[in-house]
Amino acid sequence: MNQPECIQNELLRKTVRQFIENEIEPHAKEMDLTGEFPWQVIKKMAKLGMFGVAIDESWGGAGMNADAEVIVLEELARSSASVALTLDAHNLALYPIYHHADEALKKRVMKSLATGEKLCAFGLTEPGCGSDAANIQCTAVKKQDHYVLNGQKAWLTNFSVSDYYVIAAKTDRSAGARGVSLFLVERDNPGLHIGQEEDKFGMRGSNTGEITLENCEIPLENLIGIENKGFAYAMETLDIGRMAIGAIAIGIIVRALEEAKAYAQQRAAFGKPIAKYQAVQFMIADMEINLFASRTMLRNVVAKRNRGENITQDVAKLKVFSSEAATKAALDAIQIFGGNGYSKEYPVERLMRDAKLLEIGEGTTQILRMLIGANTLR
Amino acid sequence: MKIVVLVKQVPDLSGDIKIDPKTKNLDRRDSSVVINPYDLQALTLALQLKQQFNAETCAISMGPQKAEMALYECLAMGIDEAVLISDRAFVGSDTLATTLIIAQAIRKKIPDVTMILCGKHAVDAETGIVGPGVAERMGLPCVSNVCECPEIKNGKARVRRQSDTGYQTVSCALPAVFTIAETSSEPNYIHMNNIKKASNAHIETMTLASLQLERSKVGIEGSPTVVGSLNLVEMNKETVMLTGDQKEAACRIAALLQKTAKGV
Repeated sequence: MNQPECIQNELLRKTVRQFIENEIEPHAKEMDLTGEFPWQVIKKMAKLGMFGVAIDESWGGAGMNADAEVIVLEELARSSASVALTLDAHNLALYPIYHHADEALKKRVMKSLATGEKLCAFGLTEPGCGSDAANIQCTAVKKQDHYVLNGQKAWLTNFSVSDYYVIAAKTDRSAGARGVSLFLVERDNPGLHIGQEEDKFGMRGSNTGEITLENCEIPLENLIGIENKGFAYAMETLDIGRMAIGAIAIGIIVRALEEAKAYAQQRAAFGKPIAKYQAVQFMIADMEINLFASRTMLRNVVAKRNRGENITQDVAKLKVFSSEAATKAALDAIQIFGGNGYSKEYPVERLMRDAKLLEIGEGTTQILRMLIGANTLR
Repeated sequence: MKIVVLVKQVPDLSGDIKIDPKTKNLDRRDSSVVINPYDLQALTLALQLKQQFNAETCAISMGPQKAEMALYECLAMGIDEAVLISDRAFVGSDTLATTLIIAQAIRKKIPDVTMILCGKHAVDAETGIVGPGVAERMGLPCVSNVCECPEIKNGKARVRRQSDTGYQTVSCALPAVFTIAETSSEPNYIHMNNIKKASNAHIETMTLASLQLERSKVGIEGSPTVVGSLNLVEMNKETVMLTGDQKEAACRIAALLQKTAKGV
């Protein structure tokens, strides 16, 4: 990393942290308790340009690289993983448009998305299919001057707050993964129906639910990139999503460690702070080790990504390791807090509920271990 | 119009503060640093004036190389240019030497400066001397504790300042030095789109040689100030819980206050 990049990253982290301390941290607990989408926070983030840090300046972004993307997500997750997830989901949908859509489509939507004026959601998962992404049932039938989409999408983050939806649908049902295409669907399309919001265990400030596409007619120019290349685009997108999950996991570990350290140093038992006991020190040490390892892995993945190299295998390892480490760090923080850790009055139980999602979303730990194992044994 | 903002990097007081037992000054080696909060107010005012009068703005900071970070921050906020005054010879400068160095830097860099803005004091040493000291060195008028600058006309600025008893409106001939107190401005966050450009900007460094100052007038040699001793303020608080209805509680509060007043 050269000097301007180091300065850039330091400046970015400092700026984002300052914003979060003033504008997000005071609302993080409330967001979790009420489950309401934090529109005020999102609008302020947009005003600051946080929705397009890695998008080129010509599209209204900040023109930075993947370092910037993960710094913002990590810092957000340190305060509110829900807000980080909202941004991650937006970035996920933005990615295939930015990298694969034609100029006309980009001109229509990129600027409003890169500036956060409008939000978007990425629809791959369906009620009957998650990890087996090539087996989606949603269809897109080409007519003379439009496509007709039919199907259901589940577990969409930003499902009811988005203006645009990037939807994966089968354009060739007989071709498996090679018959998937990506489409841009506008919110006001009469064929798009917004379903119920999920009442989630964690990440409660994020907006997750189901949408239905019923004879949803979209113009041919809303096809993203080339027909039947959608699965490859989606997999590329998921690599970026997994990198983001690594950053969110690190944010959660950092917070768990900060909270646990402060509590262990002030809480006394048998005449001395509990931080003086080896049992507590071991849990703190594990958090430190896992944080160091996760950061090292993320730095490695980001450097590869910035060089334009393939990150599929490494980012899968990062995601498995860091998401499990985040859950463990949050659970250990609860243990250090004792009874207080089990109370919603303290922030560590929220960290645990938020962290668990990271082991499930954007490729479960199990499917990623299969991917890594199969590649190793090839 | 040309505006200079003096910026100091200070330890982040929300973290742990250490005192160097030898010099009895703040130990800045391991502490995380931030721009002095009052200097941030000065920057905010400078940016408002830049927008209003199309003014040219320059941030100047004196400190070690790492103080450059504060200047990159100023550039990302929208300040046009930044200068770092840094030289090993300046280490240990007290406010007397510091004002000499900064005044010389302003004379060299922006001889036709219109306004020099700085925080009313830095939150580390809390002297509040640098602003007025620079004014004295440069032979300029100085208005302290300014919180607003509603008018600049005919070579004069009308400013609103805080006094011990309220607010005063003062008219002052320009060029002048204004030390800035709390303004009513909202927090001025850096826009993400400014960060890349600011990080790639050039920051000019001024040294003892480029400022053409005598070595004996700067650094420890040029600084007569010595911190004699340092004492921790002892805060002893006693909590008394009062019971009873409002009337009873009020009587007991009055009695306690009388007792305390007698003690004083």
